[in-house]
Amino acid sequence: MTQSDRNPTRNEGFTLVEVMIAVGIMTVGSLGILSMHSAVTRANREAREMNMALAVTETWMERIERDSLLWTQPELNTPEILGTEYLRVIGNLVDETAWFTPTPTNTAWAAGFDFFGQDTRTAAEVKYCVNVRLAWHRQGRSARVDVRTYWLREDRSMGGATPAHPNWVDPGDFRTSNCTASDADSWSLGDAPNINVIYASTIVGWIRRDPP
Amino acid sequence: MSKQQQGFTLIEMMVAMVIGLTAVTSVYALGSAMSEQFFVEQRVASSQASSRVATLELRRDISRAGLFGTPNASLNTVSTAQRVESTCDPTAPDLPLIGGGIGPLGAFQFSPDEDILVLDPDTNNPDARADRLRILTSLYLTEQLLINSTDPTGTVLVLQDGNQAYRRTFGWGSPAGPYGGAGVQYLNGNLNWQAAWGGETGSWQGIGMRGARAFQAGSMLHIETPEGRHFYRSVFGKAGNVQNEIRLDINPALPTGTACLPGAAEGATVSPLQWVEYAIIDPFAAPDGTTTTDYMDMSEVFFLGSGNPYPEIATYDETDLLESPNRVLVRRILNAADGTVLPNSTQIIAEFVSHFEVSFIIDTRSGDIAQPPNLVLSTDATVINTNPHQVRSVIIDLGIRAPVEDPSLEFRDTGVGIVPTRYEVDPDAIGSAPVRQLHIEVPVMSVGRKNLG
Repeated sequence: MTQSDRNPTRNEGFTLVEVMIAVGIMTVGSLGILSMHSAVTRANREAREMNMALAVTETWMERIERDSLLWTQPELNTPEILGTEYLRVIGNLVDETAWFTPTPTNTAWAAGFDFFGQDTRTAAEVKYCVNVRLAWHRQGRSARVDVRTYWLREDRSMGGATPAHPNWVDPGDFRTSNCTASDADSWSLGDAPNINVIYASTIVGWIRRDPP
Repeated sequence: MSKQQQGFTLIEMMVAMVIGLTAVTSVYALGSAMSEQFFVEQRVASSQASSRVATLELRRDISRAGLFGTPNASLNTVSTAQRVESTCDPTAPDLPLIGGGIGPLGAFQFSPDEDILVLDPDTNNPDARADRLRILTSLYLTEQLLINSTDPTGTVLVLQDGNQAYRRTFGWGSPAGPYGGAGVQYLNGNLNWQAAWGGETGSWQGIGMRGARAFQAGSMLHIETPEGRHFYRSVFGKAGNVQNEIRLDINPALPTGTACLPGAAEGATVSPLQWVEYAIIDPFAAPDGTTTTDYMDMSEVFFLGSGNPYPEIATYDETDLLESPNRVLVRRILNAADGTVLPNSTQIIAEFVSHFEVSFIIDTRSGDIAQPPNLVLSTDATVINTNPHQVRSVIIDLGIRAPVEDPSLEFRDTGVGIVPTRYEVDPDAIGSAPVRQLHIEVPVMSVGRKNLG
């Protein structure tokens, strides 16, 4: 060790290597902030989707409640329950239905909804899908209505993982499916990384048409 | 030489500066992206919160339509084949119509696109709707009260006191509320009825204000006698200041003492109903004396207690507050006798409304018990206004746009030579949800259960 090495008055700058290391550390820190930004963006997007999905679910619960106004006689297989728009699916069953896609006769309404929450039957626009399942609560008198709303999380990507996540749903399949309930049954809705689902239930009963 | 000084070389400086500049630039870009995201989310959140409040109000009012009285325009067409509410009034009861005049009384009144020139003055947007909806509903009370008597002319109603419904409605607590101070003093002292009604400036004591609001001038009373006859009468205020007595001036007179209404209507029930209106208005429209119903006085809208609005709100004008025109959905209570807006009753339900569409599901076989219901969708004002008892549910489509327009989002081109409008956002521009669409359907069980024909 030379004398000059220990001399406290010697002035020396950073070397290039030192600067590079410092900048590198700073970059790593910035990347952390960057990922936070994308996480916040994603969270906002998901909150918005959830909000829309809740509104869509509520819309369908209301439609089925209204359908129950047509159900004016109890018991199975009556013309009244078979004359309803959606409840007729369970009209001649003794226990429950599978998940099905409700199809309103009014073509302005649909089981699919677009990004803005509007009913749509155009497969390419469908973002949210609604399926319904009915089960007798008291057979022939009141029924439990389950509504499930599921949607594609378009911000999710496989990231080139090989093999793909076992429950990954191909976005193309989601669109061509156009809310077909059996397709949704074949996907693991709760486990698919790029599909979100919410469920809601209510009970509807027949409504007497009072004599005067 | 131990005094050797050594700094960066020029090359080292250049490299360090370029790297530093890159880092600073990226941080700046990151910050601006974040702030943009923040503002977008703020807009989305505000329109979502706004639509949620609007939904709550609409649901409550619509679901209460017809509560304690299913108004039926064909009240007098008594026929054995039909289910009607019998009365013996010589003329059918009526309500002020949208657009002036009076017409048949009903749970709903509907006028499609009544306010479209307010919402879209340039008529640029063929898809936008601005319907107007009126609902006859029971806002303040969820119970019926009993009548003690009418005067011989049938124009003054005296309510029975001493029953629980009466106490709940008019109970006069100590100033600290029913559970404070010296305890509840129901029906003690002067009810200060005049002060409670006169502009609602009376001090808030107990829950007496609820009764004062429900029976204020401009309400409509649904009176049902023990014989099952129905009468609809307007309230014109209180009749005299009698200690501990609720006396109401009504019009037209009841047929007291006739075969139609034996005695003095003792034991008949009475329910106060209110005539609520939903309309689109321009909050900054100037009052011109002729369109006062479309003018929203800011001092009434921001009413916060003693009648003093925030002064700074009143001094704002359109250019201060907004970057683009605002049209608001208001809910207001109308005088059921003449259709004027009751003071302090106007509330903004939603701001920056771009679409307000009302449609109805009606049962065209209402009253016919031999046939199952026939539910159809209707937006025909004539059908709704002449058959309000057929309504089974009300569908509302409400569009709320972001307050501040995002210049990066394109407006939909509505056609050659037509200016693209702010009310329709390009549906392909996905990302910031500038328009919040709401679709709700509210069943009207009070009307449906009666199944009148």
